[in-house]
Amino acid sequence: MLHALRIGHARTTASLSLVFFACPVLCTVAGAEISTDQPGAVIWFPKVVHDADRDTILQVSNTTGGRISLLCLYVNGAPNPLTGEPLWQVIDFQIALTRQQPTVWVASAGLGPRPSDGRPEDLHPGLVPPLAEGFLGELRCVVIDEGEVPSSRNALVGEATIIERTSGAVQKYPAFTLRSVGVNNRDNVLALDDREYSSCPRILVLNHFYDQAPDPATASPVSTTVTFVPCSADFDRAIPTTTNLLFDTFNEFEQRLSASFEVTCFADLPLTWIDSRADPTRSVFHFAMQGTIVGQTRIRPVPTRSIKPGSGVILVAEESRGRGRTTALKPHFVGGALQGDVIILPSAF
Amino acid sequence: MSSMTATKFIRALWGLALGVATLGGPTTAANATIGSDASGAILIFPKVVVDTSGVLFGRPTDTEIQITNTSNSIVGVRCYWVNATGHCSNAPNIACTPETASSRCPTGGRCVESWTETDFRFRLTKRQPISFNAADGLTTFPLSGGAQGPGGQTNADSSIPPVPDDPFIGELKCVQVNPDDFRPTIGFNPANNAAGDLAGHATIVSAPRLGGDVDARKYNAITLKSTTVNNQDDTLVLGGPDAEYDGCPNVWILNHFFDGAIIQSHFSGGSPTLSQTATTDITVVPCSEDFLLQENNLGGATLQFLIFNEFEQRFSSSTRFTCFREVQLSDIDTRPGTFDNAFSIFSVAVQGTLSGQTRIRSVQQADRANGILVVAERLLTRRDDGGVVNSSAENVHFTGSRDRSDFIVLSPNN
Repeated sequence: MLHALRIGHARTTASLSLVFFACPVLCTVAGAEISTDQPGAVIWFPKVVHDADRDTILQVSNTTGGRISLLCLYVNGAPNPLTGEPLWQVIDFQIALTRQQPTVWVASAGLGPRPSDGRPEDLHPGLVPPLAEGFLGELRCVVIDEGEVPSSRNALVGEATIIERTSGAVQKYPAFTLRSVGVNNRDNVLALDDREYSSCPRILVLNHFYDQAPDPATASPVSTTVTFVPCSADFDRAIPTTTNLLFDTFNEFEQRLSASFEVTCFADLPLTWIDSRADPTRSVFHFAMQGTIVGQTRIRPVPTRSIKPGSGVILVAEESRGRGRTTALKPHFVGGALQGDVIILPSAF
Repeated sequence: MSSMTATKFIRALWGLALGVATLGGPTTAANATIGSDASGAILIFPKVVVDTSGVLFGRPTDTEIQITNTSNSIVGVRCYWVNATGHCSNAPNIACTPETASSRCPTGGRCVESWTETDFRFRLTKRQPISFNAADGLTTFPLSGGAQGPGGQTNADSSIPPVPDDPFIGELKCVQVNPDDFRPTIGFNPANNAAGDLAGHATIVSAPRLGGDVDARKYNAITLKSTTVNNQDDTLVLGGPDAEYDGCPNVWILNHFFDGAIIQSHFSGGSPTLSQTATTDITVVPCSEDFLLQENNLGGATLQFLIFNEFEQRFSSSTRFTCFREVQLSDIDTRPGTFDNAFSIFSVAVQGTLSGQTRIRSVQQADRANGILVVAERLLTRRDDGGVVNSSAENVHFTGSRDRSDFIVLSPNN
């Protein structure tokens, strides 16, 4: 009988049936997935850079009415000049924010050990180390309490602004936040499983211009750079996480092509490098290959050999138009990861 | 089975699904909130600007809209351009903003806000992305004129008109609907609890007249997810009891630099090598809107602002808006224009710290939540390069929900 249906109707019907029958199960597992909109107990800037041309301004704000402390970890994922692998060097520091207090620092300067503007000591967040030139990596901060153990206070929001000196271009993205959602056992293993903290996304949807597609308004070619960071990280044993990513990209004609890519620790690369480094025009993400200006790329992390708990990733992208003028591009998320990720903080000693 | 019979079959299935969902109660609606990083059934672009000749904003400006269907099914979309462009009271053909009224309007004129809507509809096939300029619209869809996708789906009867004015300033609201009868619907994807399948971005692009540097700022469309309760009528209930969609948040949290703050970066040997001056604009639109009566009888609210600086010192301010408000922070509590901005509580000269946290709350009414939606733009002006302005846009953080509803009343579906 369904053969007589038009294809569109058939698909709609199938989907509705799926919703109808699946929702009693799936709706009950509605999770508090990672977000960029609401305050969280973990805040995450997936791309922080300080090099000859670029610097990053970091803003963090306490949205609650009480004082909080933060344990922050800078992770340098820049390529090792000898091996080409990410360095994965970790620097941690602690700061404190009073009620509703915002703070800001520049990656290349940090914050000094004492207030430089004459404010009382207790209103100074604390020492933030400056980053040396050549840093390309991430920053994660976790709300902790007086005992320096993780706290369940969803207090943090933040933004990062990357500024290019030559072009003056600025790109600003909101920090990702993980909400404390249930019982927090206050140990140094943060479970991103929707029971202790929000889970990482099951699917990331990137709505983007194909590489070198003409900008509809200015006709200048648009290119996209993507940054991937695995959600799981073991800062105690200093073991970087490897995740395999599967890409399905759909053009405006609904045609589908796919690719895959492996991320260890940190990856920052042009979109076309995912599947073609030598000749970008052969990439499934290139305008010459796709023939349409925009595409929807769905990214699904899958477990790999090197990690036990989970394989989630987060992503930010940057679009460049004309002479290096860039904007940050925030992906959309679908669902929570089926396998929980973990962040293992350094043990006290 | 004929196409008509198929449609009836689908509707019957819909009725069954919705009936069961309703019996189950609106449990999933309880504390749902909007978002900008997940797909939804209502898609809102709070700020769309077009000024192809650059008479209002100094540089030719257009807004690129990207919309995509994240589901495996064909979806229908009903959209509304909301035109809030102001015009001079004594020269109705001249567009203006409150800041440009003195220079653009003849002597004695003031800038009068407008509120008109233009509606349109289209279909998006499985996973299909589209993009268009607000100035041009999209009259020919990729899968139209006999073209089909791999699964046989098409963009039949789809067209997006350009914005009705140039210059134009306003918003774009879109609602996911059933592709067969264009009635509001829940989403088709169980992976996100049928919360809706539309996602989008807006990029405001400004270019100088003679080529050169492009300035672009991008934000995610705000999405309202559907609950599992939807009676498919043209009155959409956002939040509160019997919610069909997410409610608008209670408080918006803007993390910003105070206007006039000098932002130094690129430190080398302890000294900055780049200095820029920051200002911030916000755009506010109401969650409630009445596209049936074609008048602004639902929107509008008093906005309360709480401002905290880095010394934990607290200030407050308030303002009113009706259907659309785009304003520099310093103009919230001073006159439009730059001449007295240094006296604003949003000014670095008053606050004495670089950054602040501003909490924005709209005052509720007895019969509705009076929710609002906010996006922000940061403008950085280089101090070493002739005042070149570089901008970025951002989705503003929020927290909390309200126990009352907002309503979007759609125009007739015929």
